[in-house]
Amino acid sequence: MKNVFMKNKGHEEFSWEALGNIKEGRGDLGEEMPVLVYRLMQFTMLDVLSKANGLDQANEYFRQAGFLAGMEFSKNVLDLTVDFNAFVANLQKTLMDLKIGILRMESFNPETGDIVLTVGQDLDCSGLPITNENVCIYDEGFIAGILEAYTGKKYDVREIDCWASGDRVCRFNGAVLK
Amino acid sequence: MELNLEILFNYLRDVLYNPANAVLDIEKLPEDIQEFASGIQYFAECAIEAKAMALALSRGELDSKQPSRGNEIAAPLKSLHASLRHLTWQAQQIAQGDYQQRVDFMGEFSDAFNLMVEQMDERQKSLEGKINQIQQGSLLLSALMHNVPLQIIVIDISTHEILFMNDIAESEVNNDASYIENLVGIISSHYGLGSKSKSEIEIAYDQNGNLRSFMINTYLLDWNNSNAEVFVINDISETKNKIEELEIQAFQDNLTGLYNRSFGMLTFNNWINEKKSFTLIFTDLDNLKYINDEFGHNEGDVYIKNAAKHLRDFSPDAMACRLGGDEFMILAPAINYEEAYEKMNVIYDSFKNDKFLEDKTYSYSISFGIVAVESDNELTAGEILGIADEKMYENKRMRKKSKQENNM
Repeated sequence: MKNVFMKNKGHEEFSWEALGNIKEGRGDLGEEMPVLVYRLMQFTMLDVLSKANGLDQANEYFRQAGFLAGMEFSKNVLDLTVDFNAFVANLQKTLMDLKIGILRMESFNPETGDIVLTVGQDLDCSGLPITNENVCIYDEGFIAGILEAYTGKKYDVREIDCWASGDRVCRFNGAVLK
Repeated sequence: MELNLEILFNYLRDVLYNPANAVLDIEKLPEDIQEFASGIQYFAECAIEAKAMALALSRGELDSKQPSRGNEIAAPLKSLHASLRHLTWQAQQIAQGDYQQRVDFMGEFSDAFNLMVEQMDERQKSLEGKINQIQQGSLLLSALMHNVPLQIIVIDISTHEILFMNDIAESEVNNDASYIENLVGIISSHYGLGSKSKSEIEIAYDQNGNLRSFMINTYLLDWNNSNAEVFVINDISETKNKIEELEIQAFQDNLTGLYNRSFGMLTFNNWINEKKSFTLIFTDLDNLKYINDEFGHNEGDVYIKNAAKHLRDFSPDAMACRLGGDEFMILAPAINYEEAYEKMNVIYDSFKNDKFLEDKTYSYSISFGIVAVESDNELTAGEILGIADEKMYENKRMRKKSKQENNM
């Protein structure tokens, strides 16, 4: 029997609406949850994907997922019409309000579009054991998605310092792709 | 064993006091303590890197070489380094006018920094408000200065350099290149430049034979650290001319062009009050009533106007006026009784022999009475006129009598 009323797509294709009505769905538990749960899902997924496809491919999946998240987050949460300073201020506040991390700008070259920023108390990595790795691959994609959504330019974002490599903040270098 | 401990001890001492020369050759140590020594070496290298970074930070060097990855001792310094780089960026944004920047999670420093930025923002907004007000005032002032019918000129008192002039003043300069120079020359020679903080002066300006009158208000002011004087010049030439015209109209007798009774009596009384010496001649036209009745008032007017023409010739210094009807008065300063009498006889003769009246069928002549008013005079104007009137009638009777005798 075919239900003709169900026209929603499946969850295999992302849409902002597919995130659902969290407030209504979690009336008692609310919209927040511990960082532990987020990391549990993230690192178990990394484990599975790495074993299935190798670490590099797993990281690439994470970067692409982060990019998609960054684009959708920008389009649905941020105001993309304001000037750069106002956009950064709004982004800082939003990331802090959502407890994603403390975003801090270090430099921005208005001519090239190149950017250096840090994220403190990062959702993905702050507090991880030191393993001399850069683990914020998802963040790299997330930031690249936000920058592209605002500037319209494609960015290559790389994490150059990470908690897991012994730093206390994660530093990201964003370069506009030629 | 003691030697090994000494090597490690010396190494740690060098790490602390002579880090450039701190060297530990692990291979020379016994195998069973090499891992321990490697741990000490790694710890020491972390400490050296942390110290180098702390030194660089203390000097404000934010682009110095960073400690190795995984250097746990330097991690808080790297966090501080990140904060300082962010603060640098924020300070640059604030310098460009972005007062929305705020510092978070840095304790009292955040509070102080954020308060500073908020106050800067408030001051900026306050200044912008004041600047806006000043700009509006300036625009209004500029519009007024270029639209008022006054010349506004600002000059440097020392150099006479023109610091400002409005459009109307500039058009004067375009028509007369030496206008300002001449104007300043007149003002400085009569009143002095920069002598009074505020004054109102009236000057006459001869512009190629065209005499103009200016009422000038002057003000001193500081103009870009120069002592300057503002001249607000009102060209009152036209006004003065109109006033003169009105005065003439008010004091002139319409028919004869001589002064009228009001001005004549005003001058007469003034001269008496001033204790002035002068001679008064009271004149009456003979036969005016007859001429008016027989030949009409137009002819009477012709008769009056012609008599006035002769009386005007009495003296350029004298003031001739028509008191009304056929009565005239001449006030002559610096002329005594005899001179006046002589002059009036000349006028009498010229009137009698006037070719203009040759074809007239009526007789025409004037009678006059002369009174010399001295500086010690105590009589009123009315009393003096009364005496002159009597003398005039006496003169009239005498001439009639003389005429009758001549006709007999």
